[in-house]
Amino acid sequence: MRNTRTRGWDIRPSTGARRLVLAALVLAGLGGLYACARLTQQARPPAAQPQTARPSTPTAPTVAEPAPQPQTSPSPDVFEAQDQLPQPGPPFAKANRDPEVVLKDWPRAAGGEIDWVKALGLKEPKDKLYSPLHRPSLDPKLPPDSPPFPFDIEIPAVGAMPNVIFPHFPHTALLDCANCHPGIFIMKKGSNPISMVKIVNGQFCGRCHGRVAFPISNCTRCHVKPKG
Amino acid sequence: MRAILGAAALVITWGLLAGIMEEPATGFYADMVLNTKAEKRGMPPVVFPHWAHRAEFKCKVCHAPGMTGSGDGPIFEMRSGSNDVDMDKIVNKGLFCGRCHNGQIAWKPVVCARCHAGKPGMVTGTLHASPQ
Repeated sequence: MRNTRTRGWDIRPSTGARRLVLAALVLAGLGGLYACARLTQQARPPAAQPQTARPSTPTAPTVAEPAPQPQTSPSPDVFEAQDQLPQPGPPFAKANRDPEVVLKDWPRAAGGEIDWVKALGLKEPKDKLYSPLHRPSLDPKLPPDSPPFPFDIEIPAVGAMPNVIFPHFPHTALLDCANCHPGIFIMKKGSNPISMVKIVNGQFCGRCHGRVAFPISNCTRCHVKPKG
Repeated sequence: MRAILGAAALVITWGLLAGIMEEPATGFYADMVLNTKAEKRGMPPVVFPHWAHRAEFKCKVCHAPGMTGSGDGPIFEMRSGSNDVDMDKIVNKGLFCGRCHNGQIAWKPVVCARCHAGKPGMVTGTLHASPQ
């Protein structure tokens, strides 16, 4: 110890600090090792996939695919053997079902989840087609849907919180009017007694937000308009 | 010196423990569990990945009224537990998942484990509690 100190280690003031630095170095090294292990783990499944897919492909029924529709998703399933029995376990064990792999290029919100509203503005996120004008309906007999409805509603907030701006645009781009009106929100100003408690308990916005749509942990995503 | 060794040992055990206890991905935000019937009928619960469908479709494809092809209702009501999903309806009647998962639009439900991927005891509803 003392030898090392005399050999030009005296930049560091005390042994305590040196211990800290050493501990940090060890921690960083272990972290690096762990990251490497994780990376190799992640790299393995795609390499193993073709092998599992090969035996099942000849037995897979070669159904003549109908004329390509704009909504069709790629080829039938060839990822697993068809006689495989269900095994309880974590879902999305395979890389092709790992959202972190599939959605790695998608815009993220502050909380780390996918920002589907930002994604809505993208023309072509990778090879996906996700824009307000794509895939209006699965039923070709139905008329094309109406364009998104740009109508912002200001909802007064309690106390010093900035007021809420509810944008109809992303909601009407994704949903139908009948999903919210009149079941969740009555279409009359002042007739919806919204409160954060009700939202947390799954009423009003909380019917979707906090469960399926973006979580309500980030206040500033809705409370955007300062008072005054 | 002893302190350094102690710290190093602590860090190593922490790393090892973290390595062992680290579980693979167990779902994603907004995954839905369907378990009103599955476990009663001896199958693992179904986990529906919302993210995989949202990457391809808008909500209204499944949730807007009039998308069943017959009738006015949506393919799926937007309230957990209010859709009486059942393999007979999916495979034979082409309702619910079977509206697309019929081998023509999307893959056919032939591999049970692809949907019946939940762990026993999962409760119907969103897989993860809302991160408040």
